[in-house]
Amino acid sequence: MTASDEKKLSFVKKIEYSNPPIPEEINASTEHPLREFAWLSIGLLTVVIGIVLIIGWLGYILGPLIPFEKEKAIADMVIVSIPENRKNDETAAYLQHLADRLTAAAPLPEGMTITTHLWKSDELNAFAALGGHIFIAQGLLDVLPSENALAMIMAHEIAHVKERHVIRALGRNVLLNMALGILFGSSGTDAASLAGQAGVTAGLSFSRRQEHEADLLALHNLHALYGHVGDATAFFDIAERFDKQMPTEWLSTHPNRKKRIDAIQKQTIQNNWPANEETLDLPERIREGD
Amino acid sequence: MDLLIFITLILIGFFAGRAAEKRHYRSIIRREKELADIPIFSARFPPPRTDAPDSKLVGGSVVVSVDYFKRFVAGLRMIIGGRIHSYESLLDRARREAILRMKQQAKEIGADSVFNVRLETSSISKGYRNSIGSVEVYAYGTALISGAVKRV
Repeated sequence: MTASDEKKLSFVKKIEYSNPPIPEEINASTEHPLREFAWLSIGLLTVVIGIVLIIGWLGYILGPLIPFEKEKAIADMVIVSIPENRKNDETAAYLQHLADRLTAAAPLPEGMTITTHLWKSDELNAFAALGGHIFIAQGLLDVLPSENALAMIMAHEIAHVKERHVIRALGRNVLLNMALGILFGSSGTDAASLAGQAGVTAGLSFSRRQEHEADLLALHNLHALYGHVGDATAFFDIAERFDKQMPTEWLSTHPNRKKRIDAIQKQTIQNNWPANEETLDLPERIREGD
Repeated sequence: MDLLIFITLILIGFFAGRAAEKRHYRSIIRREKELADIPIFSARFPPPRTDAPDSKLVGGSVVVSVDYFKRFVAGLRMIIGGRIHSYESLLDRARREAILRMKQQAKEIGADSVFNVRLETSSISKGYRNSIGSVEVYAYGTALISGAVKRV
């Protein structure tokens, strides 16, 4: 380039190139990551718990709309497939008789029936299934101190049937699984599975409230049958003896034992029911005697 | 038990990831100052100059992985939407590191600038479920070397 060329081009401003330092905070946020984490987790938990409560409530309301006959028809299809222990006819007859006496003392709604089953298991457990089927574990029969204690447990399970808790729980679980599946099922991230966990945990509070309800109804039933409520809390003392550790309440389907005993005792005192009367012994023949 | 494993992973992810990120940013900022004398251009052609410099392809690539914490936060984000801050810083680091490695290479061959700089980003996990989420960033450009030999 000659000097004259340079002169000709002098009116053209030369393009300035530079690479200034890259400013921070534009491409990457400087916000503390825990802040975002906290907001997102709390927000999501609130939403999940809200959904669970609403849907749980819906299931609770809608469950009993299924007539008991339908519930029983469905249940019977499943339950006939469980082999009953024919060797224990005596025990089974005793259980059914006790259930009949309890339902005679506190009548069930029209059309509702209770069918008892002996459950060959060493567990200290009993449960109510769909269609008024109640399972009592042999383990319970072996350790309970009296018929009254067994009647309390059976009355508790009958109360679950009477209040349609089983079908309510089923309705709630079906709805919840659908809702959580639709919301989080497909994303398959850790966050989604954790949200599902939170949903299940929140749902347990329904179950705990129903246990309280069943306890109180059972207590009424016990009083109606025997005229007193002796050994109403005997099962809890036994359970306490057999396993010391209880899961944290909010992770459990059942309220903790102390709360249940307290509620039962409070109800007893309020109604001025006698609690220290003579209790009836369980017949020796229903114990396995090991 | 699951919860315990999860909390442990989150804590490890958070502390290890955050320490690594801070250390990386410090290193990036320091090296950006050191290599500031090699300007880079996204323009396809170098600015007009009177000499005829040598040109060579230079490139730098980097692969970074997310930590468990970042991935979890991003997972939460994907439910409600919005800026995924935890991935933004990850990609910012990856891009700047790739450019730095490219500039380092340019410096080693005695270049004074790099033009036509391009960035390629690819995800290694390709969105497969439960695979490690990591990205590769590759930066490349044409380095200009105004060697004494070429000067007329």
